[in-house]
Amino acid sequence: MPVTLSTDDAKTGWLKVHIVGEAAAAGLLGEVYNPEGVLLHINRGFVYIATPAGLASVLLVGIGATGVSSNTILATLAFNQAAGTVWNVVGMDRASEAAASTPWGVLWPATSYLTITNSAQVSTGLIADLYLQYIRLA
Amino acid sequence: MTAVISTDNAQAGWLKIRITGNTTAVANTLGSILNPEGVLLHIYDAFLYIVAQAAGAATLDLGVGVLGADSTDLASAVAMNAGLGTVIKIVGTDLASEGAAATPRGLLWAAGAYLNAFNPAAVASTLFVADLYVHYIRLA
Repeated sequence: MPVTLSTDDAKTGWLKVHIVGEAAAAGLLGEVYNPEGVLLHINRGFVYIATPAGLASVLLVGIGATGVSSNTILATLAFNQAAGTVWNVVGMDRASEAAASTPWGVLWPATSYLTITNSAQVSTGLIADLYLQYIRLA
Repeated sequence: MTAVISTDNAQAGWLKIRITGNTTAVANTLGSILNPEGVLLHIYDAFLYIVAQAAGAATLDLGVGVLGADSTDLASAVAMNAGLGTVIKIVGTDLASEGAAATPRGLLWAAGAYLNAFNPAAVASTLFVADLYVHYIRLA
């Protein structure tokens, strides 16, 4: 399974999703079911690229139905960046009283999935961790 | 040692470091904090609260490096004789989605590295007191 929820040491409130690339040129890399079973708001996120993909693979990350590609969280970031770099996921460049919606926040309904899709390029070699912080809205 | 991790009341996940000035009138370290988790961290937010100003025009550099180094990848030449009672943003959060979370908008803190406070000015930092609040993620 190339996408798994991490259960390693305490992350002080961060959900950690481990992502491993694969040789398929397109298709679902994996998905994570809403871990709380209630409506969530993703308010912050980072992706740490431990080992880059060999090619400029763009992974689409977002919230949707099972198996369905979604890019409400990440849409254009190529995962062949330098090893050991951190990339912002939820935009923080937002003024007070503005809508906290994509790309500045994303709702995660109780029965939806975080899906990670390889858009058009093989992602072989990639090892990355997606860190998400959310609020329970219920 | 003039930079120490605070162990006062709960800081709700913030690492709190008390930085105190000294009477040394040449460039000198104000203290270093060893990575408290022993694993790679990513600093993603930080604030500096100026509790008391320095008497003279000393300045404060903050960053991650080897023990006692003049590291500037978190802050560079913050005036230590100004800003009494104010809070200064240390890690920029003016970052769009999919942007690089690197200096000044984030910083990796390697397992064996130190967070350094340094006065690069040839002016004593006497009377200065500040608290640095740091948020980080464990990347391991």
